[in-house]
Amino acid sequence: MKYLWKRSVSQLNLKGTGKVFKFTLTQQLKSRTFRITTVVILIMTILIASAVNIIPALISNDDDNEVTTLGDIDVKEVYVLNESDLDIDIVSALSAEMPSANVAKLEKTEESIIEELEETTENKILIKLSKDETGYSILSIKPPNITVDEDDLILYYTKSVVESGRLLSAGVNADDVEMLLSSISAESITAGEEVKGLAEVLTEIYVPMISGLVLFLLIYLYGYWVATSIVAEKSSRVMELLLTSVKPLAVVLGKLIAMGTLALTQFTLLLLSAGISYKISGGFADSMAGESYNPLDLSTLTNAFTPLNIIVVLIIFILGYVLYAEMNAIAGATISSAEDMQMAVMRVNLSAVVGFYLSYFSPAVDNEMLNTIVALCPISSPFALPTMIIMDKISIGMAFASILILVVTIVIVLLFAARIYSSIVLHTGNRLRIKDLFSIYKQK
Amino acid sequence: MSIQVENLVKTFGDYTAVDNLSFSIDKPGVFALLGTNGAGKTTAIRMLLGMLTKNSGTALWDGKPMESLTTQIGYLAEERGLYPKIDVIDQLLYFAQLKGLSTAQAKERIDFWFGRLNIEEHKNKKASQLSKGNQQKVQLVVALLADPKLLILDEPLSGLDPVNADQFRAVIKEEIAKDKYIIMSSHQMATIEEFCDDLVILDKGKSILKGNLNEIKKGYGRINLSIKCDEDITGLIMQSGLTILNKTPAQTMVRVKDESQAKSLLKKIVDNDLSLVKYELREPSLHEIFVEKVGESIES
Repeated sequence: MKYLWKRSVSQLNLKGTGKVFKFTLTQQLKSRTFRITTVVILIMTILIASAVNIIPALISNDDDNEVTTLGDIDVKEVYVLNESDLDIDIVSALSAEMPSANVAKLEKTEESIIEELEETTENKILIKLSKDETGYSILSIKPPNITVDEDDLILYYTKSVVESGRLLSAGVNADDVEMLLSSISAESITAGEEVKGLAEVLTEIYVPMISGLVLFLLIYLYGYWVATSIVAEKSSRVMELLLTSVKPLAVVLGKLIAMGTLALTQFTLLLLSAGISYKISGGFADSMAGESYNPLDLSTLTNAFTPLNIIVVLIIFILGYVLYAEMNAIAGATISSAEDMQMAVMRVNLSAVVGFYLSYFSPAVDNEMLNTIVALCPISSPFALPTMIIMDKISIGMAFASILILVVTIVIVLLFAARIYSSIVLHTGNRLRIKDLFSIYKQK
Repeated sequence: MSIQVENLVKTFGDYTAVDNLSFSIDKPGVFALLGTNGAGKTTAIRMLLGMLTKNSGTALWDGKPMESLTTQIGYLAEERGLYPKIDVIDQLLYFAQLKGLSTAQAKERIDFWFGRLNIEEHKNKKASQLSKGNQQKVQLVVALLADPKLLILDEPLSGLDPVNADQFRAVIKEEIAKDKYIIMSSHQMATIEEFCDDLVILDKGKSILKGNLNEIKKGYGRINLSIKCDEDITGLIMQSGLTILNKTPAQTMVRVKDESQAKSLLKKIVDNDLSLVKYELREPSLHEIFVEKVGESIES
């Protein structure tokens, strides 16, 4: 096996690839840019994955607090005046909600309490329930000289008490009152669709968007770094020195594999950190959550991460990276100074951005034709396909066809690069355009 | 061992950069690859190193294609080629490993050459922190690390101060003494004359002169006369039908056809009782041969 490998390497003239790989990997690991981006990506991943559990728990906590009791409030005295025909015990109901306040039925006249409120510097209010031709009304009267912050909340609770009270006084039993007063949700769906909860919306729309973005960043950035590495070596003339020891294809292959290894490592770290932080934050969420806590059911997503699916996702990631790295390597070799970099990689940039946007918006649009194009087109499939496979949004046949198209595209670009690379890698002067590259290819 | 280059051709589209270049190096020593700017020297070197594919022709080392034996070739490029932001020692280890050296061997040789060239204190610096001369020394170390049998030096003394230039000369002489094959390209003719045995001069990709330097000079004969008298002898020279090549306060350079013409002028100076300060009859310098040959090429 070792003999066959050595023979293949010598025929392809790839001697030195391993050393280029090792050096590129080491230098990149030492670079500040790599360390900072790794840390930033991991922090963002941990925060996002944890937020999926923590935010609903915090919301449930607030909801419970909001529903059950106000707790300590600044208002110390609440006077209740019931001038309606409803026989409801507003005093007891408000007392239960505001244990720190003294809630009492108004014994004085309305005029005298209003006079008192006008002059007082204490935190007290009057709640008056009345009825007129239009219906029931609740008035909150507070002193002018001090700020009463909770009057809106007190009004809110009073209103719920009155709503329950009038149903009870109409003869509705208590259980029915609770049912009648529960909130009503309303939404519109297309025939054949199912109602989607928050978990489903997250899973079907936002997860593909976020994963597409992450894949785009990793695949594109590392491919771009291959180009910048090549340009740096050309502009500093190191490339001449390298080519006295190794062939151009060995140089580019070593760099490609090194950057790809780093990309794959970051991607794997990202997946692991997302999974671990989701698990750990789930435990925290359970401990801090209120009674009404309903954890998001992402089991559809988490169960989809089978070992086979993970392997397929990693393979697609590698293929996507290889395609963009190859194109960037060719682009980098067409120039000899860093100033021309943006022009050189413009077409590769454009392909990547178009591919990304197609994969980003297709889950929201959810159009079958668009999804097919996104899945099969080699510039977009690396960003969209992994999520489509995880979410089981693509048939096995289509996935296979997509991967095949990606592989064929990679091979075509590789053969093109292999033929022209030795001619362009030492090129200096004006940037080589695509027609120049095809001209060199034909000459070869 | 020998180097045989035959009918090397390189074209870029319609432009022929190297046109049927042939030469051979049969023994250790310095071979000079000379030419005007854009003559095709660097292109020829890159083909020998396998960096550029040849359109036709062969370059063999001991019967084997040279590009397959790059671990035995050390190359000092004309332009500085180091990673600006990477420590010098890390780069040297990388280049050494590409040449097939182990880390231990590489470290040993780096220590030796850094000591030899007095640049030990720069080992852990970034290349951009070094002066041009020190960068050139580092690149010379890169070329010598694998103890190559063939050294290709492209403008080795360019940009060096006199002290560093002498250091480089000493190292080149040491390598010559070790029976290395050296191909040197330079515009500094004095340097070439100091070291080289054989040469080829290129102009517009074509070889316009090649052979052993001494033989070439002998072929011209001793026809350059440097003469100075206290008195002005311009008139005397013109009367003798001789061509003044150059006149400076230090001397007058005269072209003679042969030694007898030179002696005839000397006799006239003596007969006229003039005060003779300098009289030197010599072969033309490489500089003069180069200028004459390239001039002829331009005219033709």
